[in-house]
Amino acid sequence: MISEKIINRILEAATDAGADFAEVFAENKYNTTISMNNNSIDNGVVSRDFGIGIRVFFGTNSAYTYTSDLDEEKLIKLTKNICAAYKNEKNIVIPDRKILTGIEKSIITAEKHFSKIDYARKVDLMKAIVSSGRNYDDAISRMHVNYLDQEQKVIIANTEGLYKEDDRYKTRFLISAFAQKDGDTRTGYVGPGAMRGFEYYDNFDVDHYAHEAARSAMAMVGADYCKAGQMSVIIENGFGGLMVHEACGHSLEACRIANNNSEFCGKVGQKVASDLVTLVDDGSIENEWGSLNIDDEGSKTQKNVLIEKGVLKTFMTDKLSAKKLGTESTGSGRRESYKYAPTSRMTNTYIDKGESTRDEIFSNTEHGLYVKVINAGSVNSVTGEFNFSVLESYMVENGKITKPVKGATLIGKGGEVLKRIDMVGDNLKIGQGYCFAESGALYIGAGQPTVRISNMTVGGRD
Amino acid sequence: MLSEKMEKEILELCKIEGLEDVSLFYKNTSSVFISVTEDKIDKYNSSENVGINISANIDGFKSETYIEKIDMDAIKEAISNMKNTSAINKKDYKKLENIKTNDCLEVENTSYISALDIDINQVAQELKRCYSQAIVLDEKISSVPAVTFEHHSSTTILMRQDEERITDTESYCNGSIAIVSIENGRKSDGNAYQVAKKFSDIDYDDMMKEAFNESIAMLYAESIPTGKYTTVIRNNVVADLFAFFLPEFYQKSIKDKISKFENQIGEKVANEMISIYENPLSDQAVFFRNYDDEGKKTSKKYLIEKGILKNIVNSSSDKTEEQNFTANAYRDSYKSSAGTSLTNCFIEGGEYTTDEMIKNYGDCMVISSVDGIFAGANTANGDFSLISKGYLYEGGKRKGSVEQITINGNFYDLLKNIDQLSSDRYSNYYYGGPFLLSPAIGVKEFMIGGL
Repeated sequence: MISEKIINRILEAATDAGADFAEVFAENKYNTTISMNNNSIDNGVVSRDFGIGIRVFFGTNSAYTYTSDLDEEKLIKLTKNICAAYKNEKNIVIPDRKILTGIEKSIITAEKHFSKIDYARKVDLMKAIVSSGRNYDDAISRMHVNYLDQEQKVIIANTEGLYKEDDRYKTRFLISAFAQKDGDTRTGYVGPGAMRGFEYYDNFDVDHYAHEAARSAMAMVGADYCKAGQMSVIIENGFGGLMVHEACGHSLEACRIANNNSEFCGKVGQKVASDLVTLVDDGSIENEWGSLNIDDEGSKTQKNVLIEKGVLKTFMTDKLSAKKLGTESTGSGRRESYKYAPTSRMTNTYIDKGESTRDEIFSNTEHGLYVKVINAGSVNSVTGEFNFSVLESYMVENGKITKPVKGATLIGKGGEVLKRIDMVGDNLKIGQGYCFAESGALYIGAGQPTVRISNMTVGGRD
Repeated sequence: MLSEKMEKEILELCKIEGLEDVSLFYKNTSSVFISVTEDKIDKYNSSENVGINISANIDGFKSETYIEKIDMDAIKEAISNMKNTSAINKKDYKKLENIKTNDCLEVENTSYISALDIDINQVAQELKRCYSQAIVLDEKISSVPAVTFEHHSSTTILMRQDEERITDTESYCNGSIAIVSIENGRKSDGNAYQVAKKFSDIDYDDMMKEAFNESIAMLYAESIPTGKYTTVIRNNVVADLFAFFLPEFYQKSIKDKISKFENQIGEKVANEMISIYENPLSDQAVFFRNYDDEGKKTSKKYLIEKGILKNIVNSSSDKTEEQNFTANAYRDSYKSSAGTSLTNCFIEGGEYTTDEMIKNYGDCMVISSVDGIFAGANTANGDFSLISKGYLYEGGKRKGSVEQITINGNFYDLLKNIDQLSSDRYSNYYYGGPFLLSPAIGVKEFMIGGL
């Protein structure tokens, strides 16, 4: 991909120009992306991404550049250019540069490499999903299925002497069902995926996923709009964990802490959530969609307990934030590709299981909203204000699920909502999704058992 | 930039491998980003990047892929991938008319500035000046996390075998500032963002004032009861919201049964004060395209004129036989296929300023910002429910600031229910979407969710 000699020259050029840390990230990625609309392929492309990202630190400040051009002199010129931005800044103390010492390969081997699987087999799986979804009900007017797979080979080297190679295999379906009835259109969605090779599909239950998307769309078509107001909210297990991802996960990323840009600054050791809440980010879970063997700075991923029984324990940290905060990386430095500088990001984030059964949570709820499927969300990490759109939800009355309601959103402040979690189920499950932030679009896991929040603001139409 | 020699070699190799009607689309992009905090350059990013999209007719089927590493091995692999996918994708190849057959006059982009020509020192000085002033504006200010500047420039080239090549250049920049205030342990932030053609057009003092005012005001914000309010939605929020729903005007959305504009051309779909148009060659906006990404000459066109739906835009991927091409084929990048998209869009303004609209209403809610549009708005049905902030007015005077509310509605209903438009407009652009210049709007009986 790129020779050790060239890497050494880049690192040397950076330190010669005054950088106290430099890093090279090289990437060679095989991709398959297929988009199918009913039985017709909208797009189907097999491609390869290739490029080099170069990052330098001047104290706690950073510069980044990238290119797909492997020309040695151009790489050196780019390195010098980004360093030149700091020529008028205050002097930096430069530590001795360590020599790259041997290649450390940390490779998770897939049994079935995507590049060796016939394109037609991938398309056949998609057709089966479309067919299964369309057969679910006549009101399913359209099935839209996206497939992706990636074999990403990376080299990460830096002036601390690190030189690592890693192979990453990821694959996922994004399955949307559209139900239409009396002029109303609703969408149901599932997105199963894993950090595995094509063997992930050996026992893949096509009908289960296609029917789940179709069922969800059918459940909402023709439903009344949700009434706006404040009420108890029960959020289903699995990808319902996106709530904590947005509500407090981003605010626990060290890049925001280091810039005094989070509601959790200075609160380590303090009670920030209900006693029932233990929040974990774990990038080392085997085969999970948000997992990595090493992060995008070469640090080994690990289980990080962020909040334990309501008390804030630590943050998710990348190298630059660790330097700013005087701590160590927690293996949380991530980036979408060589086009992005890494920063602290989540991997698989979840609320750990509690003691209530799912039935107990419902039977103890007199009036509220049951959120079966969350769609997407966002957060302002400074204030903790978040919002989520809900794809599938129902009213709960006297301990029973009653009628479906559409168009609900959940809003609140992360710190406040964490304290209002008053029941946590024993049925932990992790779902798969994407997270969009400053180092690009990343695959993440978000999970939780069924949880209840005692009082939330629900947005609706009526 | 790809050399002409390499272009020829790629085309020659494609020909040898049996590919017909080969098109090369490539984009050479440059960008710089600089962020200042604590009186220092916090982040500096710079890039120069090129990628090539190759598409061709293989045995009657359209096939395409892209490469980033430009050498003959990569090109051979790309051709092999195209061959392996074409017969399975079964996308019928539609021959496009020749580039430049229309004998149209090309407009020169006189406002183009390459990112490589940005004077980083000059930018850094201005950002540092802004930071130094912002941090001492008020003792409640706890931090100024970032004052930023970003400049993008690109050259788009489309060439086909045995045809003339076409080139378009584009450039734009943006600036932003965030200010965080704190009082009695309560934090709030204010943000301001401007899109412009060049660095000197960005008014950092104006942004500083806007971010500061919002940050301080929101320290005292409270929620309000759920209900229907006469509401003024500020131009920046309208720009965010309407830019998200512009795909409702795409033929693809009609084909996919998402848009409700099917068979509505010539029908009244909005209040008659509403006119929305596209101009791909505006020198006041982000895009500057003489040709779309299928080589068709672009032109100004109305989407809605005085409330009447005038155009649904298309590309070869979705155009029906009865429709004319609207020259709206665009790619997000060399990685994506040419789909339908709008470029520079403009909502025509009204008679009164936003302040005058507020005075005219007297008692009203003013929505000043929304978050999470991608989560809370749905192009499949036009519904939106978005977390918002704003101000409550009584008798035309500001009574207090408001947070923890949602604005709730439907895009199609909103078009019909707009009661007033402001004369002052705001431009919105996020990478990958259309540019939109929008006025503020006034709406009566607008649903707001709160307490």
